[in-house]
Order: sequence, then C-alpha cells, then structure tokens
Amino acid sequence: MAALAIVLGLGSTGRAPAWLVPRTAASSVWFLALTAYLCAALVASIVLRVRTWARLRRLGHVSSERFRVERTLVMAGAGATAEARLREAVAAQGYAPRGAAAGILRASRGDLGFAGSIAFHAGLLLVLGGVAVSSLTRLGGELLLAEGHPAALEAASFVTLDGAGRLPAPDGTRVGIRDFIAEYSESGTPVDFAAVMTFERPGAPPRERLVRVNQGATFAGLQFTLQRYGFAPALEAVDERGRTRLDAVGLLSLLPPGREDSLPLEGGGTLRVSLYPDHARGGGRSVSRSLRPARPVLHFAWVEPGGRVAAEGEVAEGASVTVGGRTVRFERLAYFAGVVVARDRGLWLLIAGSLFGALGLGLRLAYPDQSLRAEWEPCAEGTRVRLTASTRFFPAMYEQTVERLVAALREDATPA
Amino acid sequence: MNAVEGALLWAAVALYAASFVLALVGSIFHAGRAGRAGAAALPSALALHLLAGVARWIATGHAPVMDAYENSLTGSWFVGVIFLALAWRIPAARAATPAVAAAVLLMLGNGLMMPARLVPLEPPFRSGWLVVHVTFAWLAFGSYVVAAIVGGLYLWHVRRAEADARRAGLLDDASGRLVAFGFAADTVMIASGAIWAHGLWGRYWAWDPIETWSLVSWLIYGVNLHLRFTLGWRGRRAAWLAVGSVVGIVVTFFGIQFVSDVHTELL
Repeated sequence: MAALAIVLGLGSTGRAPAWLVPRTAASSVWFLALTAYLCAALVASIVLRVRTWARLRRLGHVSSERFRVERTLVMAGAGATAEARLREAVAAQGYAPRGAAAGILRASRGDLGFAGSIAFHAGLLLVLGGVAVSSLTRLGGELLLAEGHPAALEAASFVTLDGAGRLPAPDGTRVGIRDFIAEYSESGTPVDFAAVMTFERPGAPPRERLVRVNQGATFAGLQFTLQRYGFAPALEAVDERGRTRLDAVGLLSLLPPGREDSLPLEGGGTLRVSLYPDHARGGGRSVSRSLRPARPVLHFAWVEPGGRVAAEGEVAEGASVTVGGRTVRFERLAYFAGVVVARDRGLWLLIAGSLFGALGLGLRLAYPDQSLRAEWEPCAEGTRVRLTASTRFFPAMYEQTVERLVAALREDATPA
Repeated sequence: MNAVEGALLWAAVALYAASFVLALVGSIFHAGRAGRAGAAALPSALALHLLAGVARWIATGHAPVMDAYENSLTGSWFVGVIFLALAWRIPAARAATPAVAAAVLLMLGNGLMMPARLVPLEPPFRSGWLVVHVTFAWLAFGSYVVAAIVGGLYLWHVRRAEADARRAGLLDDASGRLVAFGFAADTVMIASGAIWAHGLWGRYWAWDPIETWSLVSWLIYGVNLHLRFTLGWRGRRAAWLAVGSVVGIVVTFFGIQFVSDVHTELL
C-alpha cells in the first residue's frame, strides 16, 4: 500500500524524482514531442478514415465490415412484391438503400457513427490545440486581498504568478474585497464564503461584483476566483523604547483555530500570533468555540532576535495590552481572501473539443457501421432471398438484430 | 451515518452476501433454484442500498459523493445497477451475479472502514457541475468494472468443453459495449471536471493525483478500444484486456484515498 501511495502521490508529495513528477514531465520537451506526434497521428487517422470511406462509397461498397451473418429465407409472392416488402422491412430497421441492381438490394446504416468517429478525433485535436494555446498564453496567479486594502493590478502584488508578461500593462487599476462573509454548518465546517470584489480604474466608474466559490468575476479579460480565506487583524506593536515595530494587517491561517503564525518585526525578531475568533477558556488555555469571529482574541509572543521571548499575552479586538514594556494593539479584525486571477485563451478550444469528442463518441456508440446485401431469385414457393449482413463491431449482438429483421419478414417468409 | 441509513445499509449488505452465496452455489453445483434465488436477491439488495443512499442524502442535504465512504456507497450501487441493466438485456450475463455481488461487497466494505460522518457539502462541491461530473464518473467506473467481470465470465465460460459459442460471443460483445460506453462516460467526466476546475481554481488541469490517474485510465481504455475495434481483438485477448484495464480505474477511484493531496481542497 505504501508503494501505491508513493505512485499515486507523484506530483504532490515530493517523494519521486523531479522528472517523474507529472507537472514537470508535462512541460518537458519529450512530452511536447509526444503531444505533437499524437496530433500528427490524429490527423493521419482522420485523413485515412475519410479516404477509405470515400473510396468504398465510390466503388459501391457500403463499408469495410469485419463480421458477416448470412440467412436464407423464402418469401411468398413474386419478385416485385417480395422486393417491396424487403425494402420496407430494411427501411424499418434504419438501413438506407445504396445503389440498385436487378435482384440485389444494398443498404447500410451507421453513417452518423462514422461522422461521430471523425468528430471525436477532431475533438481531440481541438483539445490538444487548446492545451497548446494555454501553455503559450495562459496567465495565472494569486492575489491576497485583505478587506479594505485594495491592491494594484500589477505583477508585484501577486504572491504567485505564471506568465507575468501576459498581465495587462499597469494603468493604476486597483482590486479589492469588502463585505466578506463566511458561512458555517452547525458542526462548524465552512460551507460557503463570498465577498464583493471592487475594481477601480482611474478615469472610469468603479465596478463591483459578488464573488464566491465556483462563481468568479471578470474584469479586463481576467477571471477572478475566490480560492481561500483567512483572518486579517490590524495590529500595532510598540517596543519598550516607544518605537513602532509593526503596523500592518497580518494574514493569518484559518484552520485550525489557534494555529500560530509569525509576523516580522522591524529591526528583527517576530511577533508570533494565534487567533481565537470565538474565544473561550478551556482546561486553563485559550480555545475557539467556532470559526465565527464572535469574540476575537489574539495570543501573542514577542520574540526578539536570538529567540528570546520578551513578552507574551492575550489581547481582545479593539484593545491593547502592555507586557514587559511592549505594547500590542489589536485594532480590528477583518478577513483576507486568496483570489486567483487567470486568463486562458485555450479554454474555449478545450470546451469545443470536449463537446465534439463527447458528441462524437455518443454517435459512434449509437450508430455502428452495418451493411446489408439482399439477393433474390424466383423459386417454386415464391421468392428465395439470401441476406448477407455485415458489421465491424459486436457480431453476436448483430446476429440478433439480423434475426429480428428476418422475424419482421417472417409473416411473408419461411426460413429455408 | 444515522440509524435509518445504517439499518438499510446492513440489510443491503446481508442481501448482497446472500446473493453472492446462493448464486455461487447455483453456479458450482448447477442448482437452478439457488442460482435464481441469488439473482433475485441482487435487485432487492440494490433497492435497500438505494434507500440507504437516499437516507444519507436527506440527513446531509447533499448527494453522497463527498468522501471515501460516500463514494464507496454510490460507486458500488452504480456497479450493481449497470450489471442489472446488462443482465436484463443479455441474460447470458446473469452468471456473473456472484462476482458482481462480491465486487459490491468489497467496495462497501472499503467504505464501511472509513469515517461516515454526516457533514454538509464543502464549498468546492457547491456547483452545478457536480452532478454531471460525478454521475458520469460513476457510470464510467460501473461500466468498466462490469466489463471486467463479464470479461472474466467469458474466460471462465470458454475454458469449459461444452462452451456455447453464441453465449460466449454475446458476453464478448457485452464486455466491449460496456468498455465503449464507459469510455464515453469517462470522456464526459474528465471534460466536465476540467471545465468545472477552471471556474473553481482558475485552471482546468493541475496534474493532481486524481487528474493524472483519470487521464492514465482514459488512455488505457482508449488503447483498449483501438485494440478491440480497430485491430479486431476479440475473444480471450479482448477479455483479458477488459480484466487488465480495470486496474487503472480502481487505482483512480480507490487508491486515491491513500494520498494527502486532495482533489477538491480549497481552504
């Protein structure tokens, strides 16, 4: 099971060689060469299928089926009557006549299946084209936005960014969030979160959009998606000499409540903080009853360079606490949101290719290539008919289909 | 899980076990009555299984598709239902009842070893794409698993001297059709997941373990279909292919619970 976990974890656990990590392998030259080869093979496959299909049509063959089912039966009545009944029964089974000759009826069905096969392979080409366009033009990155602190829409504001050169030229646009809400179940599990995103461009009226998980906003051709959130307390830290060592909004982890984060202090050292959004005391220590910011309390530890804890205490929202001459002020609590900013021009090709592919497969499955050749000649009892049915796929099932055709003719026929 | 769900599920497990034992006895000892009783127990078990799923749905307020337990619950039901549909169309496939009952029991057993807490739908799952993605995922999984079982039945059938060629042919075709149907469903599952992912994460593919293994499984079945339908593999070779190909899909759906990189994690 451990081996399975390692294999499954490629790309996420770091336990595999880098060249085996899917994300790395997918951007390697050999993988791109493989993709190019696959595209060439798909084009060749489509061309070959269409040419074979057209050639067979020209020659009067209906298709190149692999399996044959033969039945002979005698129909009552003269040739013309039998032919009319035969045509009727064949048409009722969905076969279309292909050419006519005296005493012979050729028919086939499954043209939609052939079209489906071509559509599926063309869809794959579109998907691969979409992947290529994505790899060449995709922009993707994350902004961490605290409520009330908009950020400039430029590369320096992003915490991660792929394709920085594809970002629109800075024009003073600022993006921000406000009115963040998070909903929790009775058991305290986060079930939804949403915020109003603001877009301010100089010289243009500000725009606002509601964003939530699975419901992004679009601005300047970019998609903005809420990805994660956490608490953003506004903090001030003043040391024993009256110097302000920290005056900022901290971005703290949401889960689990009380998890410790570190904020750097000017001049060295850190302020280690743990937030209890719904503070209570339990077992002699601080706990949080829920993730709702009902009674936020911040536990802090002032660590000077060298690791010495100079002061430690707890401070509630809107209050300040002085310990050992060091003052920590917890002005207010807000949220921050991780917002993914993306633009992917390959997506539409991927969607179109997926639609083609799925539709094509459906048609291929529903309409397999099948053909039928019926030859008849007069006999003492009426008309002797020899049916030769052929198919590329599912011969045993097709045999049953042919038997249903024979059964449809049975009213007028007796198996010979 | 709540009491109603638990009672229904354990009753379903008992019926699956009865179906397995009776159908197996029927097959081995050519006991017609036992075999018929085993076959009849399977739809009853599936009905109770469905009711257990509905009870959970009502209790949690969402379809049971979120964690390992819920996926085992739903996935095993799809395997049983797809088999019932096949057995209705192709009576020759009914001989696979013991294997299908065993497969469903194994999957349920896997789920029952996992926590079955009643939790609400997590934020990433709150999307209209969930129904499309998950339904087609389970249709693909069920089709592939039943195709492998029918492939195994074919291999078991043709090694007997008195093998019926017509029956064997129907089993061969049934396995192929299931693979083709599963492949189509698999394609819709991957495509819908990619489109959903773009709206959720801002990118349609991230090479996470589930995505990677879904693609690997899809490619395995793509090769499977080309060997069968383009190169004309039939009979034993095609049956072994159906049996062997299922490994990828089992890894995708169940091995994934052993890694930490969760497919839908947001926070």
